Amino acid sequence: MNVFYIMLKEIKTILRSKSTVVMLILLPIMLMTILGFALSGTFDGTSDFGEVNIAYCCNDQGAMSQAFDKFIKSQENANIKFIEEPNINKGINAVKNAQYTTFLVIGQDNLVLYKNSIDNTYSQIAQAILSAFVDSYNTKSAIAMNNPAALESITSDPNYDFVDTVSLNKKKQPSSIDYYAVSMLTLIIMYSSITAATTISSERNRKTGTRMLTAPVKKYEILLAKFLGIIVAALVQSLIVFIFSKYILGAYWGNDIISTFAIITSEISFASALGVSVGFIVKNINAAEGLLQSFIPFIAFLGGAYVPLSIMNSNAIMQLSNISPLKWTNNAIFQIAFANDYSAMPKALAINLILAAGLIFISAHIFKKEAF
Amino acid sequence: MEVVKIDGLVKRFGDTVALDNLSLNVKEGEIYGLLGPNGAGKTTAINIMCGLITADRGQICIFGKDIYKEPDFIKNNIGVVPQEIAIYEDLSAYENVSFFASLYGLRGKALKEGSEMALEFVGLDDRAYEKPAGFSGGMKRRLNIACSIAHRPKLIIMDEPTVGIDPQSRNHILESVKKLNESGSTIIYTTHYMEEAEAICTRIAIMDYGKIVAEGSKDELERIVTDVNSVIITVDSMDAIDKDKLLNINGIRNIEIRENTIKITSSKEIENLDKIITYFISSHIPIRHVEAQTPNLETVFLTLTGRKLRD
Repeated sequence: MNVFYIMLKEIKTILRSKSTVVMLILLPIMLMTILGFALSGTFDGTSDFGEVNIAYCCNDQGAMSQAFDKFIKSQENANIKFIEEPNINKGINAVKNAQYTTFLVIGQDNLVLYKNSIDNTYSQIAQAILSAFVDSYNTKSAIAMNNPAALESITSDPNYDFVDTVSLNKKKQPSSIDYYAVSMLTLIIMYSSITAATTISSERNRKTGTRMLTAPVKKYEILLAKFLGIIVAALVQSLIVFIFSKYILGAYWGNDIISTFAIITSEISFASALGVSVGFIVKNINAAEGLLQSFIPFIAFLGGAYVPLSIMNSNAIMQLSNISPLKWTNNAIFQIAFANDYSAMPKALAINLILAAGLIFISAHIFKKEAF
Repeated sequence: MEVVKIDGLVKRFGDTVALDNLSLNVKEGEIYGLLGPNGAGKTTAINIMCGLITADRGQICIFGKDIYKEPDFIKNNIGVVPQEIAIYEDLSAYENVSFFASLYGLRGKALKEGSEMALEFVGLDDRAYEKPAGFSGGMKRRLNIACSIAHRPKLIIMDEPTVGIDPQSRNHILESVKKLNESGSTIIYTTHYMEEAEAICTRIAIMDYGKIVAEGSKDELERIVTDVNSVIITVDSMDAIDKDKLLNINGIRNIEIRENTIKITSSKEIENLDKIITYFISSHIPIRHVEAQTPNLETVFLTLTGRKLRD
């Protein structure tokens, strides 16, 4: 029962602390809201481009030129401007001067594409559009050769699509709100280690820890109760942040909330154990806080808490990120929510819980030798 | 019955000898004062009694049981009031008392009643649901005591419970200590304030360099250092004083005359102040001022340790 009473006291003191509420509840809510909305363009996979200029020259009035004329008509509603340029040299120079994105010369049975490498994005869009045309033309040619009757029905339907797209998972990619809901929550959980370190230091500074030891209480009961108390308090805080992100911001957490919270609880265990052990090892609270304040942003960055590491295109950073428990935690949560993939979950649980057990063992060893 | 029996206790911290063969006995129903300057070993002795640290050598029995063999039984029956105010600022006064009482096994109704009794005892029952952040230093000290008594311990160890508080709160605490003693608790009380020890302690031990240098009641300790009383009388003129006549008064051992004051030293066991005053009146020598000098615990302490208690 001692464990229960000490744990209850711990939960009360943590949840009543104004600084803890600001740090562990209001801050993540604020951050996920701001980052989620501010960086929405980075995550939603769509960008608004201006008009794409494609100049062309028909050297031959054969089948391909006729097909291209039809293609131009079919693209009337797209944001593409087709400009006829009969002079090939003039067309090429215009591309060089970035007047046109691309210049296309249509021959009897081939296409020659000139593109501006400076304006690479627009060139790639134009190239993709023209590739679609070539694919369509080749397909129709093949059908005309093998089954002319079928070609009739295809060409009579202007909206005929040659490729069927079947969506396997409607929510395949996380939006910025989805991403920061997860990453800010797991980041802030790491900051609960500071709360854990503070609870150890404050027992030492206020001498309440020594007072507890004059009562018939075992040291392991105190350590266990503190550890559990910190975990429960952090879980309550996480739940509040989770509910806000899900129901106010509309963040997507997937359908398996129990597995997600199992991973979150394992991360809380790691963060609590980290804070408790730092609280025992570093006797000065300011030094303990400083140590954690330096360590957390480092592993948070490697865990992709601030921006997804994939956008950095750095193999070295990707390799280094493997040392961050936060990376495995975030990966596991995202994979469950967005791909229904549980393969990363055991690894995330194992990393967090093994680290937590090791740190608690160190704390117990120090606590056994000295009274706070 | 001896509540605490300490025999040959030794504790070293590196090269420093904190307790040097300390032996003492505290009897049931006593308020046992432990006096000593900083570094005398009082807190080390208390920490060993509470089970916070272990001794290098020696034996301690509390309630007749060895503290290393039956620590839980002993801890259950002890209340420790630490020197520092050891309370939680984020919990209310009631929650503080209730939390510490729960560690002694109090549950449900007993926990509630014990917590309320303790707060009432220290005069904080009307502030029970306030957080101590808004309390004065004296109120926090009283709460510090309440946290140690809710489980009604048979032995209460108080380590300088009145440091840095106002006289009103100090008086309240001293009265509380007496009441706790009257209600059946044996008390070990360490203090820097000699007047506190004189006011409440039934027996006093003076500690220095890790051992007891003197022990006894206040009178017994005073007798250790001197067997004389002195009286200093101030008069207008010394012309009419007959030194021989004064020396004939029973008990007077010595007379010193300085300007217009005369210091008369007498045997402590002989009461002769009335005869001395009568001499001055009958000799028509007007007395301007009389000051009786009797040894107090401060004198005793100074004599035995060579330093003042608050050094």
